[in-house]
This record gives sequence, C-alpha cells and structure tokens, in this order.
Amino acid sequence: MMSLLFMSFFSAMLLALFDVYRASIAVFGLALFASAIWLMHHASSTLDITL
Amino acid sequence: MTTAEIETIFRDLNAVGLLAVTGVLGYAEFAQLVQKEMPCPLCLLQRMGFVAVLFGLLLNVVYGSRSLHYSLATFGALFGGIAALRQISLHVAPGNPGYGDPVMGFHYYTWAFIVFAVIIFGLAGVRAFGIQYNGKDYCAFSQQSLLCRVAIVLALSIVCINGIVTFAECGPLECPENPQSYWLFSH
Repeated sequence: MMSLLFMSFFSAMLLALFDVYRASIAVFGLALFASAIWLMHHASSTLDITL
Repeated sequence: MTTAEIETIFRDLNAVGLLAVTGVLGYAEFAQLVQKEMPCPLCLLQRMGFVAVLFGLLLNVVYGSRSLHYSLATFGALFGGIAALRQISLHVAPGNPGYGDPVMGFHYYTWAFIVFAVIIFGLAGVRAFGIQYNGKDYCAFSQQSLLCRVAIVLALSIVCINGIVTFAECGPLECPENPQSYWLFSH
C-alpha cells in the first residue's frame, strides 16, 4: 500500500515533467490525502499505547 | 536584471532545494540499505512528506515559480512534520529508547521534524519575493539548465527507489510496526 503511495507521487512528478499540469496536481492531491488518511489510521490504532 | 534572468535564478534556486531534499531521502535510503535501519510506517510517512516537498519544488523548476507550487510544498512539509511529531510523541516517555539508532544525539524522526521546520521557514521566505512570479512558462526537460536536469533526474530516481524498496519491505499489504526483514525476501 505504501509503495503504491510512493508510486502515485512518482506518477504525479512524471505527469508534471511531461506538461500534464492539472492531472499531476490532482494525482498529487489524492496521494497526499491518502497519506493523511493513513496517518490518521495509524494514530488511531496506536492510541492505546500512548494512553 | 531582466525577467528571464530572474526566472533562471529562481529555477536554479528551486533546483538546489530539490537536490537538498533528494539528499535527505538519499541518506534515508543509505541508512536503510547499508546500515540496516528498517523504516517503520511512520518513518515512511515522513519520507512521503519529503517527496511531497520535492513535487512542489519540481513544479517550480518545470513551470516557473507560482504561489500554488510553494503552497503544495508547504502542505507536504506540514504533513511530514505532523508525522514526525507523532513519532516523537510515541517515544517521548522517560526510559523509552526510541526507534532506531540516534544520529548525532537525535533519532531520525527528530531530525526529520527539524528539517521539515527548516523547509517551512525556507519556503515562507523564498515565496515572499514577488519578483519571481512574472513571465514564466512550461520549460521542457531538454531546455532546462544542467543543474535543473540533474536535480530532476535525481529527484525522480530517489522517489522511484523509495517506491521499490518500500514494496520490498512491506509488500502489497500494511507495513509491520517494527519490521525486521523484507517481505519480498521472506515469501
């Protein structure tokens, strides 16, 4: 899953390099949003450890 | 100074930033592959923050400086900083040895938080120069300066390597909390 996120960022960078501007920003936004969801999922699953 | 010269200066400045962040990710890969420091899920999320910063800087190099590009890079740095702070909070209790071996007194995630803070301050400073937002356009890879081409190739390479190495470590599923071996080599 996390490798998929890395490859999404990689795809966004490639799209930007080949002048596909809006699609690259859209892919980047989705990848960053998915990463944020992943971070929240991780934070909620480890909450019992910190408490 | 002409508009074209100013544009070149800021493209090169962003290329230097691109190289610096690529260096950080390169060191993380070095620590993983050579020093056998396996990254945890939060460590990988911090790397994603650095990759997001790379994307914003890459847009500035390819399309010229725009406020939106600096904002995207700042969002990436904020995300990475939050992930680093989360990991610091997990290990801040007295007697907790932390995750991984410290480097110059700090763990990797503490260094990551410091670097993200520096990036946010740096981006806030550079984006304030309004003179850079004039006369920019898409610049194909072949028309870029040597510095920009090297920075773009290295940045793309390190992101691709991160994706491949992360797949080798975690596979298609969720990464283990405390990874000891590579998923790819144990299946």
